[in-house]
Amino acid sequence: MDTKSKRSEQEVVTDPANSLGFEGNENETGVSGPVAKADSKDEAGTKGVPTAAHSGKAKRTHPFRTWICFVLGISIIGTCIVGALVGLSLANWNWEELKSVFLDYKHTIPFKQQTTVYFYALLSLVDVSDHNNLTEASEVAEVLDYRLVREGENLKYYAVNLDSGIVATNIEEDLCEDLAKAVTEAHSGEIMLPLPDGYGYYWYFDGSRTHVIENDKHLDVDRLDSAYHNLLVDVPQYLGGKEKAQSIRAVLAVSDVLIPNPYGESAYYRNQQVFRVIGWAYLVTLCIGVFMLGYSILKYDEKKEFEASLASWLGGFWLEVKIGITILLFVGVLGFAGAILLGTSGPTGVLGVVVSVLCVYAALWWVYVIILDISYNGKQVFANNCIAHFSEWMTLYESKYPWEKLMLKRVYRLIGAEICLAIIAVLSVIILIVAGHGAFGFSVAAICVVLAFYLIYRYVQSFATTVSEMGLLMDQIERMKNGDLDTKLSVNSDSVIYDAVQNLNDLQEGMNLAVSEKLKSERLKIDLITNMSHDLKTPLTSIASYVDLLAKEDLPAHVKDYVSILSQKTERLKNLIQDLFDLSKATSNNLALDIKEIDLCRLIEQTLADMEELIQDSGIPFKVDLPDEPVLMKNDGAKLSRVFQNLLSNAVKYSLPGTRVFVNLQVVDNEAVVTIKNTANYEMNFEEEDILERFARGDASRTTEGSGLGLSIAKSYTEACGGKFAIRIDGDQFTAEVRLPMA
Amino acid sequence: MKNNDASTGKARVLVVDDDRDIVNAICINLEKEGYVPLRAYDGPEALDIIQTQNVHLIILDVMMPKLDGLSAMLKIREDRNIPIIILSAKSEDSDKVLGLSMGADDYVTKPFNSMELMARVKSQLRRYMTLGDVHERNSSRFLQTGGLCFDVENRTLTVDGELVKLTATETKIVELLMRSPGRIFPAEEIYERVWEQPAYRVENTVMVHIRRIREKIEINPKEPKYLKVVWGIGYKIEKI
Repeated sequence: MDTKSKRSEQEVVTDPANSLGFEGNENETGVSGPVAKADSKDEAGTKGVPTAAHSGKAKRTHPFRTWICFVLGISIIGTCIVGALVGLSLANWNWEELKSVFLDYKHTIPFKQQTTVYFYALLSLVDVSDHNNLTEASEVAEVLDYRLVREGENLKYYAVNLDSGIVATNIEEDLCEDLAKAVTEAHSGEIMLPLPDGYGYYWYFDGSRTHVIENDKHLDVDRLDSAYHNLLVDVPQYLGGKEKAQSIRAVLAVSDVLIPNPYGESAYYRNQQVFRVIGWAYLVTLCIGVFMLGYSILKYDEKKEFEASLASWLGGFWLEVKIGITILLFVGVLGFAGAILLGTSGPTGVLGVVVSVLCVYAALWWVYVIILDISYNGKQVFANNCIAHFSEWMTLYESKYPWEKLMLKRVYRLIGAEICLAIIAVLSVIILIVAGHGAFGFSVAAICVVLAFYLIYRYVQSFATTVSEMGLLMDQIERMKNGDLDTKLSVNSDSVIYDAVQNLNDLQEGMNLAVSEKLKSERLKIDLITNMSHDLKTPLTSIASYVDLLAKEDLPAHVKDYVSILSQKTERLKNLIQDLFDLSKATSNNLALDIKEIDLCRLIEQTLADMEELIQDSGIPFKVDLPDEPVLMKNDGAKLSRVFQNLLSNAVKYSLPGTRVFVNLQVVDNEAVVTIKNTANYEMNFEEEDILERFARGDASRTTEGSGLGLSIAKSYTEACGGKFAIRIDGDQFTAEVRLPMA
Repeated sequence: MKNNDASTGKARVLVVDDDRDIVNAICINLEKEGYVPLRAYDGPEALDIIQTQNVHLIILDVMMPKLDGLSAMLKIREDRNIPIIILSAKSEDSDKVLGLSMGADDYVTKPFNSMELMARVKSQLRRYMTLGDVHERNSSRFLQTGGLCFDVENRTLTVDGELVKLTATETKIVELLMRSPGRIFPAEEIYERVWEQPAYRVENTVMVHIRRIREKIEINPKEPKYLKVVWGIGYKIEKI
């Protein structure tokens, strides 16, 4: 497990493609390798955000912590950089100065300023010549001295007024003598004063100039960037002119090591401590910032992961909300923080600075978050606005109503909106006239008019769409009526007739299914017929064969009679089966037609000639009336001759002796009409339709031979050949009519 | 060269059908007619017998297990010219045409009349024994289709080698139709060319003659093999 996790971590670092970083999850589930990796990537792609259950196992990931580290790290480092820049600007962009804040307090400007305060105080101690009253002077001196005294051992000073002889010092007497001598003797140039050990830094006023000596080295105080220049240039003036200053000598030495004064508060020591604290705080903060940033860079994938979930969360907000927050933040920064930074108004002090800095950071990070949002969600950021939501809501609201109500509602809504706009426009024009706000009233009215026209345009557009879709729907219904069950209609899912179209498509599907089911069952039917026919014929063949064999045997006379009956019935059964088979085939539309150009006239003549023997034997006269011209058509002659054979043999069979059979062929309206009339030899007490029922025979006794299928076969064959078949019964008059289309 | 006694009653006839009773009945009839019946109950069995024994005629059922009749026939036809009579429950014209075109010499539908079947057997055997291979006989003197053969010089018609007696008119009709087998002749054309008179309402006259010819040349005139009515058009002799 150890090596596994190590390896996968390596992968994290080396594979930037795993931008969403779900490798932690991969370890949790205990699988590794490229396949598992692909899976986890896939998961990331679809879910976007890891589930809590996932991150709650073995190795926890802290996407939010990592991201916060990133934000704080960047912010802290940024603050430190800005702080350093501010410090630099305060130090006149002198890097050495800034450095000394941390390294050596004595080189900072505050130290020099503080020393200047003490130096002036020292000078004041000996420059009391203006004061008439000595007591008063000593009081002033006491106050000034207090400043120097509270520094304790940190300061050693010696000042003398050569005119008045006033001396101010805190140096021990044995050292003081040497120093007094050195001070009074010295005039100008490089002067080394004897000071106690540990006080290598001192200021010395020689009556005209102030020298700053550090470790026996004169510092160049005239340089503009030395910070001494501004502080020391006014000393003679402070002492009341060059004349007066001539008599004053002053030495102020600062201890090498600044120590606290148990008898007073040392400003030097305090400031040094403050600077140290600030310096260390700065360094520590900077380190924390760098550490945080480093941590977040190491856990780059976790940061990415949080950003992905943050972006998906942000994606749920409307664009307007984001724009509002952005405006608020920038107004806040510009108005509030800006005012503070410029120092014009607002809360001041540390709190003010903190608040304004926080404001700036909030604005900056908001910008970062918005960029994240856009980079993850793309155009969706702009699409997810309140207008889109409103129209979505409208669609949902409208879908609750039935179609006709919805269409009416749209009209009412349009009328209502138009009326409102008209009222607003009229009112604004009235206000214009009354109150005289010309431009405003006109522009409102103009906006109303434009809006009104836009609404009408939109309504007409949607109406036109609906109408054209209705047209499509009607076309589709027409197509379906004509038997096209494959073409599907599709409209936009936001269309008002979407449901209707879906229903129609479902209906079409159902019809398609029904048709294919029917075709299948037809196929099964013909298979059944073929198989049944075979199965019936096989035993019948045996029966016929053995009846034949029996008939050839030498049998008693009465047995021969039996056998001949068997033989007859076998023959009849054979015909019946054949007829059944033919009829089934024809009625299940499985009749194969052999289409040729034929002459119907000739066909009827041939049929009659073929049946001549039967007709003559019956003794029924046939009156045949056929046109001289050929009646040409494209059809299956064999099937049609079967039709007429059946009809003619029926006529022969059921005609009353002494009556005639009339066979007639006429061409009416491009249709060949064949009628066969005969007078029945029995009472036809049945309906026309009944006789066409299979197995029905005119003669209910059913004793004569024949299958009873003759008329049915004639009818179904005629229909299979594209013709129409009709039976008419008028008293004893039986008429069969066959109508066939001509070529 | 083959035994001449075959025609006189010792021909060996193979009966193939998966229904044993049918095979049995046919064999009894064949024995009565003086033939030597051989039995097989499926395609492969039939092929075995043909390979091992001398067979003069085959009566073959179409719908059989293992190897159906038509496929078996194709295998037999690869190297033999034995007459084959197809026995089938399928009575459609298209089935008959298919069977005959695939090499059968005759086609009998079930249920059949055993007299008719015997007549067909006899006819086929006669043709096979006396004339040998029908398909090899081709000369300008003979007009031929299937078992029909018209001798132009002598103006005589033989059916499966047996002479048929025709009247002068019938002979003319047969010659006309046999000169172009398969062609359909309308009644008027037949009348004009045979009777050599203008034709008017001659369908009946022609049909009467056609029926008579059929009765002489067809074994079953109701299901003619050669001379056919093409309904609505005319008449023809089938080209086989």
